[in-house]
Amino acid sequence: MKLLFSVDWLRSKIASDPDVETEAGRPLVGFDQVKSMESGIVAVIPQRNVIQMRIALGTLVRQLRQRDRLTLQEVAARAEVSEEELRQVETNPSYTARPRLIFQLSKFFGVSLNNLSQMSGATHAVDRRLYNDAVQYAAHSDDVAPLSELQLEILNGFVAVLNTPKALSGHD
Amino acid sequence: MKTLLGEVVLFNRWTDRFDPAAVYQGLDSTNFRDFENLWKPELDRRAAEFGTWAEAAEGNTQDAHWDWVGKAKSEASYEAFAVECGGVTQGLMLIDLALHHARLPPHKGLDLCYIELVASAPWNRRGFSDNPKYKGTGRVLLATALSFGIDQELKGRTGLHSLPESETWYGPLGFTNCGYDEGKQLQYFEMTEAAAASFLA
Repeated sequence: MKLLFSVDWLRSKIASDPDVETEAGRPLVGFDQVKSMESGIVAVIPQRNVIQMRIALGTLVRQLRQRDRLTLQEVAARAEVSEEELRQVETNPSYTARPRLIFQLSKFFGVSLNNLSQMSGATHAVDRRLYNDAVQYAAHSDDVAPLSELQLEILNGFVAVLNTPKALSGHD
Repeated sequence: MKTLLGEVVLFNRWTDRFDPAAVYQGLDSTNFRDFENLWKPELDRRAAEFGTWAEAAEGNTQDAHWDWVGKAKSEASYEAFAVECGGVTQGLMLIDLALHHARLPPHKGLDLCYIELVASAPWNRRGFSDNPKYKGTGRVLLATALSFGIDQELKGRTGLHSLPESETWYGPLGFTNCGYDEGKQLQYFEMTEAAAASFLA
C-alpha cells in the first residue's frame, strides 16, 4: 500500500493542527490500583458509602449550577449532556452516572475528573480523604435551599480541595 | 509481518523541530517491548488519576491495553500500524475492516475502515505529561488509516469512536459527529468519501 500524503503535507498540517488529544477507541490506560491500595491511599468501599458519595455528587452539581445561576436545562444544553441524566445525578443517589456525563461535567464546571469520577461511584476504589471530605461537605450542605453566603463558602472550599493537586489521591 | 510504509515526520516540542519518523504496517516484538517497558509504566503511574474514569468507561472490564495487544497479535480482521521515531514506538493504531459499515449517506451500509483504536505514547499526550514530546502522531496515523482504506477500495470511508477529550479534534478534520453510541458509551464519528478526499488534499 502507498501512503497518500507527503512529508511536506505533514509538516504543514502538523504545524497548524491544534495541540489537543487525538485518542480514539477504547481508553488506553492502566487499571492497576493495587499499589495505591497497598499504600492505604485508596480503599474499596461498600455500597452504602457509594450512596453517600453520590449524595455529595448530586449536591455538588446542583450547587455549582446554582452558583453559576443556571437552570438544569441550561447546564444540559451547554455541557452537551442529557437533561434527564443530569436530573438523576442531582436527585437520585442510586443512579450510576455514565462516564461521558462525568467527563462533560468535569470539563464544564472545571472540577477534577478523577475525583468527580470517584464520587459518581463508578469505581471500585476511592480515595479515603476524598470520601471523608465529600461526606462532610454533603452533611454541611442544605440540599434544597438556595445558595447562601455560608453555603457558597463551603462549596468553594470543597471545590478547591477537589482541585488541589496531590491533596487527595497523591496522583493529581 | 511488519512492513515499512514510508518516512514521515513528527514535531518535537522539546526542540521545536520536526524529527524523521516512519510508519509501519504490522507490529513486531520491538513495538510490544516498547509498550511493555515504556508505555505501560507511564500508564500505570497515572492509573489512579485516569484509570478510575476509564475503568468506568470500560464498564469495569479488564485492562484495555492488554486487550488490544492481544487483538493485534491474534485477530485476523485487525490491521495494526505503528509510527516510530528515535527508535521508539510513538503511536499505535488498530483498524478493523470486517465488522463495521458506513452510517452516513450517500454510502450508508457500505463497508468502511473502522479505527478500533488510535493512541499516542503517554509521553506525547498532555493528559499524561506536562511537557509532552511529539506532536503529530494522531494526524500521521489518521492519514495512514485513510491511505489504507483507499488502498482497500473503501474510498476513504472511515469511522471511529472518539474519547471525550478528543472530540474537538475529529470534527474540524472533516468527521461528522453521528451522536452518542450506547454500546461503546462514546461519540461515533464518521468521514465520508468526499471528506476523506478533502482531508488528504
